[in-house]
Amino acid sequence: MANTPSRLTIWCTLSALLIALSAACLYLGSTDISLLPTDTARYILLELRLPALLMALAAGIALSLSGLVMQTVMGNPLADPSLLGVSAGASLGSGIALMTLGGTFLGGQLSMGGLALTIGLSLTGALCVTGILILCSGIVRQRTTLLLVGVMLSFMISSIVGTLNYFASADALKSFVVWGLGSLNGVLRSWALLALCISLVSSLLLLLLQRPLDALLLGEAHATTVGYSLRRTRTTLLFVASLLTALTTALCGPIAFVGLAVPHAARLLWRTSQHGVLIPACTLLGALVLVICHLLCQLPALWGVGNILPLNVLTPLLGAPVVIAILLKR
Amino acid sequence: MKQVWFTFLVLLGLCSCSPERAGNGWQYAMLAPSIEGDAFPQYDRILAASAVHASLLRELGAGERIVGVCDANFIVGSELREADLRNFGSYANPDVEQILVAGTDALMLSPVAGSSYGAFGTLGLPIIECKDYLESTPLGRAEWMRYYGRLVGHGTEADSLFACVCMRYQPVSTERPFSVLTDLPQNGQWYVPGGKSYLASLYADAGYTLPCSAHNEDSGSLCLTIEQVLALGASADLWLIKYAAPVDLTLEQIAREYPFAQRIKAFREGRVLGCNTLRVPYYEQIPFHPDLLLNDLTHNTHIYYQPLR
Repeated sequence: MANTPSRLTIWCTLSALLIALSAACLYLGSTDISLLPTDTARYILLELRLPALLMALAAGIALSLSGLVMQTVMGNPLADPSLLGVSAGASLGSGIALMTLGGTFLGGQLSMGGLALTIGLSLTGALCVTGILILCSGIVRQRTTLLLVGVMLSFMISSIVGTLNYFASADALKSFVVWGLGSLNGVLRSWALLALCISLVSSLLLLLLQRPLDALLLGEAHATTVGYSLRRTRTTLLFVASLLTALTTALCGPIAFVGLAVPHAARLLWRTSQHGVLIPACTLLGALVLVICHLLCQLPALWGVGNILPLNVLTPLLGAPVVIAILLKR
Repeated sequence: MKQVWFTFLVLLGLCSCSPERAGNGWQYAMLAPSIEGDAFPQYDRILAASAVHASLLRELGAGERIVGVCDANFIVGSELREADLRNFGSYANPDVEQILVAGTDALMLSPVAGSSYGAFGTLGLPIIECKDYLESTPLGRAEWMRYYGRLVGHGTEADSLFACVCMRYQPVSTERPFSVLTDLPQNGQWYVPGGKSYLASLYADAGYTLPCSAHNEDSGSLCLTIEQVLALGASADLWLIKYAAPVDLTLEQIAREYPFAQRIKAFREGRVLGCNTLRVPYYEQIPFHPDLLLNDLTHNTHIYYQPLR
């Protein structure tokens, strides 16, 4: 016990690390900006690197919180943001944008194309699934049933996405595969800033819901006994978690493992299951993990030995050992 | 008189092709099987899995030998569309029963390195390996038509056609080459032609340089970040964007979706050309007619790349 670092030490160390690595994200990239003309360097820093950093922070926070809430609401340690089909819904939206519409939509006065269309339809897809889940949440009593409904939805949507893949042209398929590999680059600064604000506000909102979340840890029956409306609490929590997942997946593509691994890592580090601690812990750790992943993705380009790596190449590599350690510990 | 002129032009073309590779009957192709000798198998009912090879066979006058294609829904060229070729399904999952029932006697397939032929391999039919896409020069790739021509009894026509391509493919030498930026990023990743790629070679012959892959030795494509492209290619004179969309790309759309475009000189000066591969048969024609693209780029005919508005 004497060797266990205090919570304060953990908070301070991880916060310092996050600040240092965030600064590194701005300083390091695939080009040496000190060699570039000032205005180009300034543009790269403010319009390319800063949005990617903001998006890393936002996505890390959103996915970790979403995972934490899913694991508590579902009473399942292996629950993660993609389990209930929200990510699949976003994939379907992206698939329609890239493989069916060819990246462009023209309807009356409405014209959308490129990234905006992909993001718009991904968000729509994810929110549609969220709506179905919330509808089901009001109908079904047991969370296992809700979990199965989500998994079935996920399979159904994956099947539709598979069909779109099958009939897509080589160019469209490549665009979809690239989207599916996940990336923090290419997001506009205003979008990234908005995503970060929503993530932080959600974090505060979940802090307000820490008591019902703690009650759910002891089972749905207990939560009902202590006076919480099970359906309302579950619906609210599911909505927040799904919204966070939808937002992240739409902007960065489906990012694997962060939502599953970070809540467990937070429980291990802070040695608690109390949401009053875990919510800020996941906020900090999730942001840190994605910033680390983002930096690691840049390394091959930074060292001049290759290209930047897609995010989903690294997140399972970092996340899987955490999950295995937890499974073995059980 | 026309025939005399044609023969003269063919001979001129063949003479103007400087041989780069001795032996096996090839002048430019580095990876093709030998075309020396007369012992060529002849095929009468060929499945040309890709539209590019179906298009070539038709051009060589062997259209009646094509039993069908795969992915017919992606055919863009009007002549090939009007031919109403039988569709044997997706290349990744072909209808093998229909292929057999149709009496196919050979399969023209493009192999992917390290992978098998999947369902095609189970048919026990001769496979004509179309490795032309692995060639790193435009004429090297186009020269494969001489091999394909011999397999359908149209070797002479193929030789003539290739000679015409060689004759028309006239590299441009310029003291100050145009620097060119290519395509658009996808999810923050920007694929550009490698420095030793087929496209880099074609652009070089058109008098263009690729600033983003100037010191690169890859024969495939290169994945860069937006900041790398801005650092290397912001001063590009011309921006060539190949894309596939149901409606044509506009400058306004690029400015809205890709704010960094304003940093690129070619965009600011309005020198952005687009090739919508859903409307223009780029992929069907260019592999065996690099001369058409070269001519498009050097003489601004705007058949393939059109100015974006």
